Amino acid sequence: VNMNKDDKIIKDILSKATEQKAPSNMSFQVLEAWKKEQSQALAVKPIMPKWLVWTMGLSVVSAVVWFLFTSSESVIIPDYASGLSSTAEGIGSALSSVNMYTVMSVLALGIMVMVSGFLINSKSYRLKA
Amino acid sequence: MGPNSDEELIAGIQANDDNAILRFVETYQDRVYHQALGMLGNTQDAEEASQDVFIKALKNMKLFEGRSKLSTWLYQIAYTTCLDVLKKRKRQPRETEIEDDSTSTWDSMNDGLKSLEQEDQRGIIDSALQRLDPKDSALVNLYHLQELSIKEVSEITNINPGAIKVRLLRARKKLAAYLERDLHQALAT
Repeated sequence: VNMNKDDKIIKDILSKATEQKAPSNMSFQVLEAWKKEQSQALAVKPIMPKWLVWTMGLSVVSAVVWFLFTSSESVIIPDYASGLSSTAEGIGSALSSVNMYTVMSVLALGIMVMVSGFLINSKSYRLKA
Repeated sequence: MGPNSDEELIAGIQANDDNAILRFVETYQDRVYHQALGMLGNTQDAEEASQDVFIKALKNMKLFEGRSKLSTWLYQIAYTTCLDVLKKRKRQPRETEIEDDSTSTWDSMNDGLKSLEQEDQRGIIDSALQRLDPKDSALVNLYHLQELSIKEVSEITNINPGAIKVRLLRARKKLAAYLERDLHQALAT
């Protein structure tokens, strides 16, 4: 394929097409969009690593569950024949021995930490390379 | 005085210097916009795509290793960005069916165009370019107007050099057919 023969004439012809210039304020628009992009990226940037968020959340939940199960002997060694009722009884007695609202608040806090950690970390703010 | 060379621009952008970012866009905006307009066919899409190209470039500037020219890298981003826009748009191909059997030489067509008013010349050439397939339009722009080598065009479009030559040859034939037809009509009136 001979690509060179008419190249000069074709360029000459094509350069007569309407000159297509970008809008003169494009650089400022890009700069503005870039600043906005950066501030958004900062806003959604995780403040702590994902693994730390999950570890903290799971620790809180585990602590509450551990507390519930160790605060009543009937729960640790359940009576399998009446397992369900023993467990319910154990949890009930455990809950009655502490402030129920405190336990629920800590449990809710743990779940909130995990959910917010998941939401923050799943927010995509990186561009494809 | 702001940064001028590509190296200075890159260093300035990596340091988040506003002046370097402005200079970077000003240096390349016409070339990027021209390519986007050629591929997308309307000014609004071309403006939006051009902005996207620069934002992507700024975000990925740390990944730019300098193995190719900054302009080549930008053309590459522009090409893929425009292809993405076209995919989303799912527009019908712009190219209308025409026999690429032009009998005129480029030289004679150039002479014919010269005999017309400048505005008529522009109208005919613009119209012919707009009817090309977007990918072919990009190839014609990069090779014939920006005067990049086939190797550089291949890097930008990720099309192998042999296929680029074939596509360019076909695009030139189409372009010649469109020009010849419109030129005959213009000269006849």
